[in-house]
Amino acid sequence: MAFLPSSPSQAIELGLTPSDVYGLWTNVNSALISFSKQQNIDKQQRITALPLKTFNNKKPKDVLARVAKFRTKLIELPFSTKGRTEGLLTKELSFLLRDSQALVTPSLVFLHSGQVLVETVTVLSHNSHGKSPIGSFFIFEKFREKTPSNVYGQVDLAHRRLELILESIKAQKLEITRLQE
Amino acid sequence: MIGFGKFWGISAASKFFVTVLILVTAISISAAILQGTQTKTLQNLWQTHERGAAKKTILLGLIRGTMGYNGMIHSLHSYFLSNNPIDLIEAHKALLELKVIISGYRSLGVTEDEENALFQLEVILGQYRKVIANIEYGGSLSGPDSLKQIIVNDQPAFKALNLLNTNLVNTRQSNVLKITQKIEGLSYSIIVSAIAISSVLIITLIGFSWFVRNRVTTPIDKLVKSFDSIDPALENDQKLPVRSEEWRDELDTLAQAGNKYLEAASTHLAERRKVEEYLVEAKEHAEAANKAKTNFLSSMSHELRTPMNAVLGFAQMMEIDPDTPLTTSQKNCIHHIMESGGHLMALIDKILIFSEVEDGTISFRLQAKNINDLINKSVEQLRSDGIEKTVEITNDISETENCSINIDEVGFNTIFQALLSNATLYNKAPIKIEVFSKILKGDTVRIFVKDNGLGIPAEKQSLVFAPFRRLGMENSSIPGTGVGLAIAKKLTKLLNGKIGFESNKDEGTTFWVEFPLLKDKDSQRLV
Repeated sequence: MAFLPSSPSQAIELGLTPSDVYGLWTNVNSALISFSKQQNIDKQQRITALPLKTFNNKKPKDVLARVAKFRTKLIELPFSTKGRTEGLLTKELSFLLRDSQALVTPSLVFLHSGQVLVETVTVLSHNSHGKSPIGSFFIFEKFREKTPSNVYGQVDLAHRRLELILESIKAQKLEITRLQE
Repeated sequence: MIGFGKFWGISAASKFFVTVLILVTAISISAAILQGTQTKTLQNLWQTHERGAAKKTILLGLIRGTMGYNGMIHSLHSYFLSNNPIDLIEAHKALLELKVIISGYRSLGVTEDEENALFQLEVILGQYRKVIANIEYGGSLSGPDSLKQIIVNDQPAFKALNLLNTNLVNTRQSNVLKITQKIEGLSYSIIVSAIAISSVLIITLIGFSWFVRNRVTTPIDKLVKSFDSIDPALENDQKLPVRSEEWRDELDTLAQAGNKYLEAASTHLAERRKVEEYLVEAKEHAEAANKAKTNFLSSMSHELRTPMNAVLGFAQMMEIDPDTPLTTSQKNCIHHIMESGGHLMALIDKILIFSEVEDGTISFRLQAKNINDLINKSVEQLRSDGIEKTVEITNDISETENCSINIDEVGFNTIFQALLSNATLYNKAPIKIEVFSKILKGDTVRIFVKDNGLGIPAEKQSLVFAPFRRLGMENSSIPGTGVGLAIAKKLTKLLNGKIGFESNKDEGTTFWVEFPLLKDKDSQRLV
């Protein structure tokens, strides 16, 4: 395996941009709204109406940290996919993206964000017994010139929506089918 | 104006050549660094190509796996069979992964063919996405048209993948070719630059050698030869060659300094020559005067002996003539005549010997003689002169009892008498003289005559053997002429011996003479 990268310059940069990541997170937010509708959550209107906050000077590393925080929250759902699904391309590409200096690129953020999207959609699909269409969440709108700060705003919005969903589930004592692990 | 010679003077030219060498060295180092950089660039290029190709190979494999029967298609088939929504999600996930992989492949840089192939793949993936949408929103998979809904023509995808694979192989071959050509080009440039630098270096060294030979070695050689050919003793205007001002360099400066030295040396030698000529002339004058003195002494001595013999002979006849007996007063007068005449005859004899020694007319009869016999005879002669009454002579010559020397007996006796006479005259009562002999290393015998006399002051010891010098005793009552020791020294030397003394004032003097012993094998030692 002589071609294994040993420095950032030798790692594969997958050519994905913050705009691509931004598209992923708009779909995550759409999936969360669909989930709140599907589960008849009483704060549904409030969840849908949550505003997008503006952030500045955020770096891909900051975005990745926020994504990780979201995943931790996502696991709190009683029907989460914890321990079941693998990361997006993690097995195949992890060694190619390995970075001794912990350089976080938009591509790396995209891979983690993609996994979040898959997990969110999985929860949604499972609780509709496969009746709910999910294809639209994998069709990405073309965004241009988005910055890590813009992406951070989308992640933050998704995080706040997820928090409201969790609060509602607890308050309404909803019984939701647990995903098989 | 600086002449060409000064510009090409040794210092200036040396600086020039050193500068050239430094420049050549700097160029060599720069070329080496440049070539090293090129080699590094080549290495980086090779690694970039190789890594790029390797990464593309991996991504191509991922595309095949994610898209094929282990990935998206597999998930779709599973979904058709089980209707499990998880399989549908897996298919979506695979499509998302394929988006990522194709983006990565594209980011590595693609050719037009590769781009077309990737585009073709994306078209096929779009078709699969439509199939999934149809399934999701169509709701039913039954009926004769259901199969059409899920059939996607994969052939273009296979062609695209094969094209990517072929392109990858071709790219790697092309890269190998490019790198090889670059290596060949680099090798060629290295050889060319090495030849160029070596040529410049060789030309510089040849030029430097030529310069050293023509401007340093040969001129120095000429200068040395010129220097050798010049004799400062000759009174002529010989000079080292100095070139004209415009061609003059350090060696000419050296030649100028040499000419100054030669001029000074010539002046000095001329003055010295005059002094030498004066000294030679003075020496010749002195020798002539000495010879005249010797001749005069010799002639006068001969001339004096004849009348003195007559005076002494007639005085003796008057003393012993029985026919005319002398009165007491007349006897005293005759006695004074005889005594004074005897002294005068002795003096004349010494002067005669001295003259013969001086002008080299003295002759010897060398014979093997026993040393002790010679000593005994001399001592006996002294005793026979009646001196024994006032002088105590001790004789210890047992060590040389059987030793002989090759000597002229008369000459030895003259020498020894001079030593004994000296010890007797310059002494104080009671006069004691010790005679002894020793054999020294190197088969030499040394005979000592030791007195207990006045001794010789240290400041006068250098004049002991000078003729007619009596060391302050000229006006004393001690009789003497001052030639005895001078004669002894000259005779000793002529008889192949040595003479010397040791003396302390008021403690006495010990004179010695040395002669080589005869060896047994010459049958000269008397047993």
